[in-house]
Amino acid sequence: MENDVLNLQRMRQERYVRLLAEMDRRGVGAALLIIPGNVAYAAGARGVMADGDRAGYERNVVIAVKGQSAPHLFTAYPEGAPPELPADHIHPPLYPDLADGVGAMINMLREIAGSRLEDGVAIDEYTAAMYTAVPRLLSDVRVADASPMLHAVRLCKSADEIECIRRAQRINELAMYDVQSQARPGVRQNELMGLFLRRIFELGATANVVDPIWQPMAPALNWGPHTVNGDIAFPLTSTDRILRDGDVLWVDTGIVYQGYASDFGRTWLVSHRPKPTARQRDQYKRWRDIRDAVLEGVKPGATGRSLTRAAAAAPGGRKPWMQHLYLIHGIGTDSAEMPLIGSNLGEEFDESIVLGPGMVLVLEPAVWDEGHAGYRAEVIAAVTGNGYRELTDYSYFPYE
Amino acid sequence: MTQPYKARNPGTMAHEFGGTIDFERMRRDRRQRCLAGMERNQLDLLLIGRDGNGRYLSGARRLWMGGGHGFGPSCVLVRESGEVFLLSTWDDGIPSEIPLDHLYALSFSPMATIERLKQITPLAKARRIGVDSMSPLFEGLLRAAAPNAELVDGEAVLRAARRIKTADEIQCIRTACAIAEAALSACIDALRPGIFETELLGVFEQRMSAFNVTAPAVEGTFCATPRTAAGSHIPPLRQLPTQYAINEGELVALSSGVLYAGYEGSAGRTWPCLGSGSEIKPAQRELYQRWRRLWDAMRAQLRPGNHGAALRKAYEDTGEPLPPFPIANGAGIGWEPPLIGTALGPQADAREVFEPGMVLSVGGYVWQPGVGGYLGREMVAITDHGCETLTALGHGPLAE
Repeated sequence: MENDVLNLQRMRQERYVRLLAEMDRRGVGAALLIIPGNVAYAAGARGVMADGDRAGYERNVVIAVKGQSAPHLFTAYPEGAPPELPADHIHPPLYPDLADGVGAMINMLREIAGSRLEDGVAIDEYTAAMYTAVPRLLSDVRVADASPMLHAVRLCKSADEIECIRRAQRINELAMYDVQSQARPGVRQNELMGLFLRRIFELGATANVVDPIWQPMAPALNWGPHTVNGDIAFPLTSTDRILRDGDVLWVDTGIVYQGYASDFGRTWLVSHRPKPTARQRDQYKRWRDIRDAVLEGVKPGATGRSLTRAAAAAPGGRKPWMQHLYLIHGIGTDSAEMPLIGSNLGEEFDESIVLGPGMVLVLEPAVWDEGHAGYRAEVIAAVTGNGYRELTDYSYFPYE
Repeated sequence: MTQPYKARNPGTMAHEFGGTIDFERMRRDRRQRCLAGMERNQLDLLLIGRDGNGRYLSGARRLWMGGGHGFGPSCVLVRESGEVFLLSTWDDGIPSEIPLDHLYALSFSPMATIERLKQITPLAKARRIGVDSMSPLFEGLLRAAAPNAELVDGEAVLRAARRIKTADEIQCIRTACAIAEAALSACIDALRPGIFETELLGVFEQRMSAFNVTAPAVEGTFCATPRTAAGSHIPPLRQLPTQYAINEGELVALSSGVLYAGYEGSAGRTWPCLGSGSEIKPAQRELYQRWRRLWDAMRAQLRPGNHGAALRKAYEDTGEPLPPFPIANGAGIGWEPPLIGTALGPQADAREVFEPGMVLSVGGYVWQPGVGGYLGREMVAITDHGCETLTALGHGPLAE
């Protein structure tokens, strides 16, 4: 029964097959991947969640070669390798952030890829050490950009991938029921964070992936913080700030389950007995109208531009999402990935995005009344054959 | 042990009589070190993508993202003027010496980012630009935006600057160590038969959060040590916590770290899981003694002028096999080189010479079939004549 719902081995196998097909389509013989989201996708290995620099020095690296039955994983955490990965595909770590490590890595690439390198290698990113050494070490090999290839294969998710996102989201939401009950006058942001982190690990999260946000929204933009684009300053880093009675709290968190991210967004009120005012209830109602208008348009064949139009057509005047973010982002092995809709990539770009089954969309419209703050929440929708399936399932209390 | 009073009790709060750390001086000193490095390397501009480097250059508290991410220019330092330009849509968490007009907004369009940098920084005039990582897409855009510039290794400048800590930086690390030890102590208190490893991780993170720390250095190891050698490692060790229920009598490796003001404090200890009436066995105490001999041998090598290969040799001369992690790594704004005792070999270690002001995380692991393992990790600062241990947490009942 469990295997029908989520089969991790099947998920990893399908992803690898898709990656090889895309390499074939683009005519490259090998891929060398070092960006965490790409590595997680290609190998399905667990590593340690750490601050950026440590994560760099201890990064998992993947070499995928056309014609081979499985990817090669280089890791400091072999216990995190998928159980089905053959032992001779699990290698000690490479250190692409160190000059000595780059030499060793390129030697390994040549050994593993052999004559397939005649078709070139796709690399997704360069550390400083790679940037100086790779052109010399691979002077006889065509080097391509791996990013477009990885964007393409990561865009539409399989049923197993969608189930991982749903489970990540469920863990995140279950933890939030405990946290929301503690959003009372005098609690500190870091105390809410502590409770949240404790609960997600008790509930089976693999990792936390972003500083959890519990931001009291100032009623008007000129209260600050000052922004460079005149828009709402969100999301701000948490501190030991003391939350006060009546604060309008915009909450935003993300965790990881089996390599896949969650994204939780809600508006809460800090109070012993939270009760929205008439205006706050109206903000929520307008947010819901925007959500419904956008969701109605989520189906295969719809363009990103049609969704931003639907959101902007809802009454309210200002664009109901933040300029420095987006109306919609995708989610997968990164907490925000393609497709980005309503971002500063522009309307033509939005028009070029055509929804297809398996895309997973995080809708994050925000309603703002200058002088009275606003309402923001997030909804995750997986595009199906004829519409969408919602992956979020958390209450809108105290607004509903 | 011989730490001065203020060093032992730094606290994290601002006080009416002033703080224990002069953050403004610390930021100024760091910037000066970078500017001097740029002078030596004839760099006009440093263009930074990595979070740790951005924290070092700017002192900004920006949203923490775990695990690192793909490249994007997030901080620029100009040699001629000493100005810092920073990716941030708002001035919250930004030091006052970086004015609002030196900030640039989050952007999903690399073209727009480079265009903005051309407007506010002397990018277009630069002849030599140091970068700390690079993506194929940004490389093309940068070459077009700065047609006369050579793109060179800027990471070397950052690494040289970060390697030697000022007194203020060491005080941050002491504080971070105190917090990490507080969080490990909470795990020790929570350790009992039946608790899941992941629950211990949750306990660690909640206690860490109590100190206004919103980011771990690493989620860390909270794992029962194996009694049989089934894994691929000799000595066998699991480092990624799972939903494994810890049994009475098992030795549990607890090793993790936190970030205070961006600086890492970490420690590793191994504790027996005791139930009612269970006692520590002599074989378990002997394991600690073996680790202790290892530590004493390593500590004797930690002095200015000595090098990493001597540390590696001291480890191997005890007869213990190298562990599945570096026996030492630089620590400051998270992990830094050198990484000692890795698969890159003793030649790489020999190039790493210890200097006063370096801070290292140093550790080892010993294992006995049928008994389990002892993992211990300490932080040390290299002084003029030897080293000072920055960690203070005892080794508990196994050391009695």
